[in-house]
Amino acid sequence: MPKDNAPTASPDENSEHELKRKTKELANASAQMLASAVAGLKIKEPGSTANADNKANENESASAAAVEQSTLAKNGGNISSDSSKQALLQAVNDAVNLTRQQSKKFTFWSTQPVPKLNELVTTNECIEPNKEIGEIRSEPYTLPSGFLWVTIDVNDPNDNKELYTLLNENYVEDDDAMFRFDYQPDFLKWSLQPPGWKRDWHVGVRVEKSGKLVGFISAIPSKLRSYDKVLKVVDINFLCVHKKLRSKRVAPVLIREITRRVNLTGIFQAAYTAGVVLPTPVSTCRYWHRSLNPKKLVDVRFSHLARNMTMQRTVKLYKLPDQPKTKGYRRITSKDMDKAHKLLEEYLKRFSLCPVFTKEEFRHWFTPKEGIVDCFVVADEKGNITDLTSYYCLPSSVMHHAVHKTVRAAYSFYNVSTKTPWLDLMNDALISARNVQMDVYNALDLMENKKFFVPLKFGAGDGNLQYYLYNWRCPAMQPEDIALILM
Amino acid sequence: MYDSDLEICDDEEEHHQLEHEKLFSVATEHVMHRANVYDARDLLELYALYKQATSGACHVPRPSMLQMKARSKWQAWHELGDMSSEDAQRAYVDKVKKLEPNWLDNKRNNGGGGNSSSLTGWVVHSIESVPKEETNKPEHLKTLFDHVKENNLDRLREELKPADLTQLDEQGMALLHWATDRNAIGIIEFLVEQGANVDQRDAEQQTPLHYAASCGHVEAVHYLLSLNANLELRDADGQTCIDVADDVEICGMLQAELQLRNNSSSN
Repeated sequence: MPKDNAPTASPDENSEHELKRKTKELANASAQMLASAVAGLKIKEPGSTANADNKANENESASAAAVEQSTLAKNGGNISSDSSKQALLQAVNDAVNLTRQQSKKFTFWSTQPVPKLNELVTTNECIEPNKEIGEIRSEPYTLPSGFLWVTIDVNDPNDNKELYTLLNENYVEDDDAMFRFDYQPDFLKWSLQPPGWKRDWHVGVRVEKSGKLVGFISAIPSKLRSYDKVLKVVDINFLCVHKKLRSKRVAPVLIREITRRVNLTGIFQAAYTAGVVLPTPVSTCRYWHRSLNPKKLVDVRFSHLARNMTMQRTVKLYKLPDQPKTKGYRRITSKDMDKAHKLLEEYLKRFSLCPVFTKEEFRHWFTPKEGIVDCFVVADEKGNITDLTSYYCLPSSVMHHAVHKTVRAAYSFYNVSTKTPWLDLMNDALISARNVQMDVYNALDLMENKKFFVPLKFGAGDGNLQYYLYNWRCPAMQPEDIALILM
Repeated sequence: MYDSDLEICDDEEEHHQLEHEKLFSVATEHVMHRANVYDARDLLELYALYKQATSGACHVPRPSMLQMKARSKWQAWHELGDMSSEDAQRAYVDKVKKLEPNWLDNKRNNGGGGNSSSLTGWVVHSIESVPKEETNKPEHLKTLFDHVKENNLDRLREELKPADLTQLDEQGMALLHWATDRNAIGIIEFLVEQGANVDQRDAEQQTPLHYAASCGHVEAVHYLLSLNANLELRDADGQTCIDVADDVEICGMLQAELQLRNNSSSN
C-alpha cells in the first residue's frame, strides 16, 4: 500500500499496531528457524563432510551453521553447559539475522496487497477492497531525477525497435546467460494489443537527456476465473529495467505506477509470472522441453547428451513423421473461430485458474500469424471441432556461438482433447512445429500436459515459473489445476 | 513522501554480489555435487575455508578427544586464524581450481546461466536439465572413452596406447566412432594420427563415416572424406553411409564425392 493511502486511524494506533505485527512476525520466523535447526539435528549426521554446510541457500546455510554449533556442543559429552548455551545463543542469533534479511528482502512486497509467504489461505477473495477513484493517487510516482515516464507506441517502428532492443539486451538478467529471449517486433504488437488494450499501460522510462529507453512494464486487460469467481484483471508482463539501472530500484516504481494506472480504470487484480519466488505463488510450474532438432540443441548446449548416449541414437529417437497423422487435423480458419472458442471455454471449466476469453479475444489469440502463433484443430465429418492445439513462437538468441545465432522455440499455448487422444494430438502438434523449422517445443507442466511429456519424449527443464495474483488471496494450486499461459 | 518511492529495497540484491562472492557460491555448489570425488584431506581443507568464509574465525570450543572427526574439522578451521572472509572465499575457489582446473568450464558447459538466473530473476529461460550421471563420475574412474566423450584431448594424449585404438566398448563402438559421433574433429585427427583405421567397423559394421552421415556432422564428414574414408562400405543392415545420411546437404556431399572418385578411377 502506498503510504499516502493510509487508513484514517491515529498515527499512534498505527505504529503500535505495526510494532506488534513486526514483533509477531519476528517471533514466528525465529520459531521456524529454531524448528528447522532442531529438525536438522535429527536428520543430519553429526560431523558430516563439507557438503552438509555447502548450501548456497542462505536459509539452509544458516540452519546448517546452527546445527554445526549444536552438534559440536552435543558431541562432547563433557562439554560444559556454558558452551551448549553458547550454541543455542548462536542458533537464535542466526535465526534473528535471517529474519532480518528476509524482511529486508521483501520490503517492497510487504507493502503490497499480496499474501505473506507461509500464510495459510482458505478463502478466495480480494486482499484489500476496491478503491474509489478519488482515493487513487492522480499523479505518476516519482522517478529518480534524470528519468521520465513515457508511453511506448508499439505500432511506431522506432518505439517498437527500442522496446525490442531493451528486452533483448536486458530482459534476462543474468549477464552470463547462454540464451536471451528474442521477442520479435510483431510478437510484441500481438501480445501487447489484444482487444481492450490501452496505450497508457505500455509504460516506459526514458533517460531525460539522451531519450534512451531504460525501463518498461506492461498490462493488458483480461478476465480470469479463480476457483468459482470471475475477476476483471490485467496481465502484467515485460517488466524490464536496463542493467545499468538495477541499483536504482526502478522496478518497484514501475510496479507501483502500472498499478496506479490500472486502478484508475477500476481494475484491482492482476496476474503475473516470474522465475523468482516472491510473496506468494499461487502455483509453481516447471518447463519441459521436446527436442525437434536435437543436434543443434546439443551444439548450442540447450540440451545435453548423456554420457553413454550417442548422437546417432539421439537423432533417431527424436525423429518425427513427415506429416501429421490424425484424420481431420488442420490449421484453424476464420470460420472455425466460434466453434473452437466454445470448445476451449467448455474445456477450461475443469481448472481452478483460467482465462475467460471473449469471442474477440479468442480470435486475437488463436488466429495463426506466421512466426508468432499457430493453431490447429481436428474437425470430424460433420464439421464439429473436437480438438485444438496451439503454440506461440519465441526465439532465443544464442550467445557466443560461432555457427548458431538463434534457437527457434515453440511454446505450448492452449490444448484441448475431447476425441483425439492426447498423444496423437500433441504428436501432430510437434510435427507441425518441426515443419516450420522449430528447434524445440516447450511446455509447462500445467493443464493436462504431464499426460504426454514422457511418452512424447519431453525432458524436464531447469527453470520453474511461479504464478502470482495481485490483491487476491486463494488456496494454492497444483500445476494441473492451472490453465493460464502468459507470454 | 515521494522520495520514499526510491528507497524501496527489492529483491535484486543478488545482482550486486561481487565477482569473488559469485564464484565462491558457484564453487560451493559445485563441491556439494563432488563430495564423493574429492578425497578426505581436500574436503577437510574446503570445509575449513568454507567455515572461515561464512562464519569468520573459529571461536567455538574445541571438541573432545573422542570426537575425532569433529576435532579434525575444528583443527582445520582453527588453523586458518584470522584469515578474512574474502581471502577464504578466494582460497576456496583456488582450491577447487587446483583440484579440477577446468571446473568452471564444465559449469558453463552444463548450462550455467539456466539455474542461477531462474532462481533470482524475473524472467525464466529454461533449458533442458543436465542428465544426473554427468556430474558424478569420479575423475580417477574415467576411461579413455570418457575422455573422448568429454572431448578431453589432453587426457587422451596422456593415456592412449596403440592397442586401445581397435578396442570396442560395451556398446560395440571404438574410440573413433565416439569421436565422430561427438563431431570432435581434434580427437578424430589425433586418433587417426596414432594409427586408428579410418574405416574401423563397430559391432554393427558401421564405419565412422556412417556415424558422421547419420548425425549430420558436416565437419566430420568433410574431414573423413579428406582422409579418403570408404563411401561404399555397408553396415549389418546393408546400408551405406549415403543410405543413413540425415539430411540433404550431407547426402549431396557424399554423392558428389562418390561421383568424383568413380570418375577419377575410370579415367
